[in-house]
Amino acid sequence: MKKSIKQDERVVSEKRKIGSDACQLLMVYLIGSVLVQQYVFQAPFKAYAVEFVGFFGASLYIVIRALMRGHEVVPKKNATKTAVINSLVTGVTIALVTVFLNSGNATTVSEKGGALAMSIGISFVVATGASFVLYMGMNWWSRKRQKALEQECDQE
Amino acid sequence: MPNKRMKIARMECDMNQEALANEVGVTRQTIGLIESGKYNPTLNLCIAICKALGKTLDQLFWEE
Repeated sequence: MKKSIKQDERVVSEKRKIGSDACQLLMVYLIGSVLVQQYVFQAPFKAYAVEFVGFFGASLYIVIRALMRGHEVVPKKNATKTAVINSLVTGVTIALVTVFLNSGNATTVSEKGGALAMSIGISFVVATGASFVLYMGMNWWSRKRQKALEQECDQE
Repeated sequence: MPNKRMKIARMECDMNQEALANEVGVTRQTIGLIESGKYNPTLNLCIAICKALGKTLDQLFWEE
């Protein structure tokens, strides 16, 4: 049973780790680049569109691949509680970003206050609601996929 | 933890690390790392090593 050294499992595993680390670094660089261009340089979307699409495209790919493989993207235990907490955190983050982006637009102090309160409220409610629906949708898909994989394994 | 039983079994078979590595289809470094306990091999590789050295999984890899 002599084998030629084609793919040493340790070497393959190390290559994968290196690739995975490089991917993580690249993702951090992409989101950093988007945030700096958007908030520090206040560049138009066209300036950072490639990084934006690259980051969110890659994130979507990772989530979809994980869901298709039946990985636990959303933890089984306390799924609803986790979804609520994550949604609230997302809502607060997006509300803060909206405040940051719109604080310079209003002219008078009262207009500023009213517009800010309105934008904080709307952003928070919409972002929290949308995130909750998204998390629960992912949870539902994850469970469905895991059941399908379990059935496939049982049949074999 | 170093795997001394594997090293002893390899020496009993009069094989060096290079020969065992060629037999099971890995690099010499991988065999060295397994013997020194710095790499945790897959079950497939464990079985291949056991077959090459004429031992069972229990004899080489089971820790009491």
